[in-house]
Amino acid sequence: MNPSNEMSNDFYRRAAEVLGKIRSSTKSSPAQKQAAKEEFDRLDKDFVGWLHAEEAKRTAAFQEFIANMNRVIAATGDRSSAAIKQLSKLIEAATAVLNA
Amino acid sequence: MHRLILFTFALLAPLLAACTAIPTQEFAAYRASFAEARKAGEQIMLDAYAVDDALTAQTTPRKVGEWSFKKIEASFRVVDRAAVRLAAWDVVDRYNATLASLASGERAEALGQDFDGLAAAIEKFPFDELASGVASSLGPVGPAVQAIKFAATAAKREGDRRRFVEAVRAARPFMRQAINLLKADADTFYGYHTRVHVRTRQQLRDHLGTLWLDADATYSAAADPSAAPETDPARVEFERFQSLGKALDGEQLAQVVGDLNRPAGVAPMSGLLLAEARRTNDRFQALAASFAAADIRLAAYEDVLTPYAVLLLKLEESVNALADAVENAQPTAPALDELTPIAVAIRKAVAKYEEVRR
Repeated sequence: MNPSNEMSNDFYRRAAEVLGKIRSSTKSSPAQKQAAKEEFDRLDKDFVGWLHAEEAKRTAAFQEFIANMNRVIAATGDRSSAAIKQLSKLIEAATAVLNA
Repeated sequence: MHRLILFTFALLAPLLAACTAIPTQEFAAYRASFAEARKAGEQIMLDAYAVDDALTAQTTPRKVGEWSFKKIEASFRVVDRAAVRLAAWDVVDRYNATLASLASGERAEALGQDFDGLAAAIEKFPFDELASGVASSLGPVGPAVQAIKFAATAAKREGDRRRFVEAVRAARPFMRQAINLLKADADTFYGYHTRVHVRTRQQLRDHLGTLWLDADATYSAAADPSAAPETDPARVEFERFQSLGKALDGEQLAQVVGDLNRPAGVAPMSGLLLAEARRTNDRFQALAASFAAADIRLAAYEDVLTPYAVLLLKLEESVNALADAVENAQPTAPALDELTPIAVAIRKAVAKYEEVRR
């Protein structure tokens, strides 16, 4: 099975249920029960691997989102206030020099 | 001075044409939706990762003897999924705060204070020491700066409203993307809990298999081969457990009830067999209760996720409503209370200027 194409919460649950019935059935031989257990372990590993892989893709997408939003925030800034503060400081400094 | 007044009017021109409208109601609704979704989202995410981490630790045995610096470095470089998601919530919070500051006019007020500082600095500047008569030839600098202040702050207020609109417009596709990521995350969080549920059921099914083997061994040993199967208490009891087991297999757990009364015609159970039957019955019931408890735990988690999903949908609606409102907002005439102080300041500056000239 290709986990990335076919896996889903629902698939995992349904497949596990079928395997679980083999494990608990009185009609299953010990070998069948063991095979069902091993198949479940594979299924479980595939499932969690799939969850983590999908999540990692989204983690990268969230990082991209953060960078984009930071750019949006930065674009709202303006320098007019800073420029006036700077001009005031310049005049104050010049006043201090002239009054010295 | 004429240039100053012209400059003041130039600053005011866009404001006098029309004011950009900020959809305050939609913005408030969006912020409220965001706050609720964030609060729930962070909690649900941290819980899901705790569940996943615990299960991963449990199912991944530690390998001894395979240590290497490269492995440590690789795990060190792994991006922390929770930290990234917390940072994503945080960046939206900062974006909201930015929008709020643009909408409230607080930036314009801050600019006004900066102008007050500039006016104060100019007033103290020793023009006459620099060159005799400069101050009188410049005219009243303070009122002129005040006039520019009023005009600039009004223009800034309008500029900030436009920045608000531009920011909402620019963020819309990113916000949509983030909400889709959050929706997909919710499915993954459910996946982690599903895994716990499924693995619990697998263990319970193994117990059920063991219980069958035990019951089979017990009743086979106690069976009376000379008696008819329908009158032999051991075989009748085994039949009963078999039907209970089938019920459990078919998930009709309510059928798993202890009933040790013998049907008519069946010989009473011996003390030993009765004790064994009670013990087996108790084990079945405990197993049935464990199956039910696993389902109850998952159902409880579903009850947590469902309102969160609704919050995400509400957030999505409010993001769209805000963006639509921004797109459809009609420019409004500038409010009189905004313009009056500007007009008064300009008039005062002109009057002072005329007075000095005379």
